[in-house]
Amino acid sequence: MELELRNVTVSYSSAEKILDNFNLEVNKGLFFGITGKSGSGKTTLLETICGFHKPEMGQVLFNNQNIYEGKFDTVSFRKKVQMVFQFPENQFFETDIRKEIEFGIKNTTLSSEDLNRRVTETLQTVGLNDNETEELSPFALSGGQKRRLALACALVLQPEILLLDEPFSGLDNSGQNQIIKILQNIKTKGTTILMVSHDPNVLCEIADRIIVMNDGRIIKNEIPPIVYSDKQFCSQLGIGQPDTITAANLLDVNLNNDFTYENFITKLAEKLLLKNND
Amino acid sequence: MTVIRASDVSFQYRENKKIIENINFSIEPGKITAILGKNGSGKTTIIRLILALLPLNEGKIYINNVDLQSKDGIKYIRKQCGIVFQNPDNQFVSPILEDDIKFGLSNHCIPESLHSDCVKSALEKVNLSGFEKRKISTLSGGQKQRAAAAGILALDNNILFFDEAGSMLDPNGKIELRKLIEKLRNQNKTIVLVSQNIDDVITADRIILISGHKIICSGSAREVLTDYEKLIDAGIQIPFAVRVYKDLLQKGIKLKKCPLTIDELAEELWNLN
Repeated sequence: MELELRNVTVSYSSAEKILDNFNLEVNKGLFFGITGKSGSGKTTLLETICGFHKPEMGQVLFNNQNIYEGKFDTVSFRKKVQMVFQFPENQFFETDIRKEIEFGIKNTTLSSEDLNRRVTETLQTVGLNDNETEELSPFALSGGQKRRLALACALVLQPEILLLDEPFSGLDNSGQNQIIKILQNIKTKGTTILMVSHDPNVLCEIADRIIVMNDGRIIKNEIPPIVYSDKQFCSQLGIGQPDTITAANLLDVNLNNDFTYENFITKLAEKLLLKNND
Repeated sequence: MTVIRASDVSFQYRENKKIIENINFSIEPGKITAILGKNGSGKTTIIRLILALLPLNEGKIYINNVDLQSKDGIKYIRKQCGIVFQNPDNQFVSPILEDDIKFGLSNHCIPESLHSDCVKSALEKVNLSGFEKRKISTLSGGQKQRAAAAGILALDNNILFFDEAGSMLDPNGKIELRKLIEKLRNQNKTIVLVSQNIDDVITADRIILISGHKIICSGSAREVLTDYEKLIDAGIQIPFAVRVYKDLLQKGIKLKKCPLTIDELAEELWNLN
């Protein structure tokens, strides 16, 4: 098990538990989508995994070692587990994009040649590699570009676990698709990803498993088709359903657990043409 | 009749890099107008110019016929307009939610005896009743967005701007925000929404579509959101039902009219049978 949370309880005040006796096992290379109502504890979960909130009770284990124990090697952990915050501007402070990305790895043992190459490759990965953009201040970028820069700052360290807090909020269609492609690409390299999102369309498309949270607990930890095909459950927990499922239910189209748009349109056209021929 | 009028407005942060170029539009009172465009298209810049948060390079902006650049223009705008920013953390000034809302009330010279009632009513509107004493730092992203909206609603401005104000809300939260905006419109408030997300603007009375630093079309939500080519041009996601309509057409199945929502799609398919 790469990452495990055992009976973790976190609270900001004595009255309210944000994570309540929380248990989770994460296998290497899987993509977890985390969803649930606002205030259900999703961001706190990521921050606790990242080492920001010492639990009152329980353990956060990374490769079987408790990350909150005094003797734990925090320095190497910080390089292996990277988090991209909800608001990218909260994590910028350098004067240009290249320096911002360099900051994370400049204290590593990489030679300056390797460092430069790594930064250039990362800039290419996130599509910020034209000369004019590289010279810009991180704060002069558009919302979508900021998201990609924040992702680049995490990716340059080649983390084993990537934690993403609503990476698509405020992003337009093409920005969203760019980030989805980047995530699909790094997933094939074996990176474990935990991503908080409210978007059922995106989660259904890219996540291996969906964790549904409510009041600091896991209500469901399942593959996307099982979570999202239960209309009543999705409505009760306020997590929404992908458009393809909503439309398929309404139009009585059988998707056979393949909720992609391509499958939906093929099945719908087949059904309509069949009716036409009758 | 117009509340906001922009005439030949251009803006650039740096020389030769226009963010918006020679745009003209007017916004009607008591309606929801949405400015739709992809990231970096200049949407936020437009509302910052209207609110005099950025200096105008070229052109004129009028609010209720008051010139923004006139002597008392800014003072007038501050009284008339409220904005909920994209990042709620950018607009909080106090650590406790109640104090944050009261800060705005004090600055609008609202008597202190009314503050508690104003706070209570504003929090009720955004489903945060009982959160008066909460530390803002302990709120979730979605709760912060609603809290930021409460701070503005308490001021009871006539013109309200929402800059991607629902981007972090859960699906139910987005529906609640849409209902709240419609309710405000029914109270005769003028609403300006800024978004790149079609779900946020589908209930708008009018949509202004921005692309390439210019307005490429404007019209009712139906007119703009079913204009497949323009949406593609502007890099905006195609509504699910519109995409299905287009793809069925390619497969030789023609619906009578292009649906905007999944419910309308079902109705069209029902008619087809």
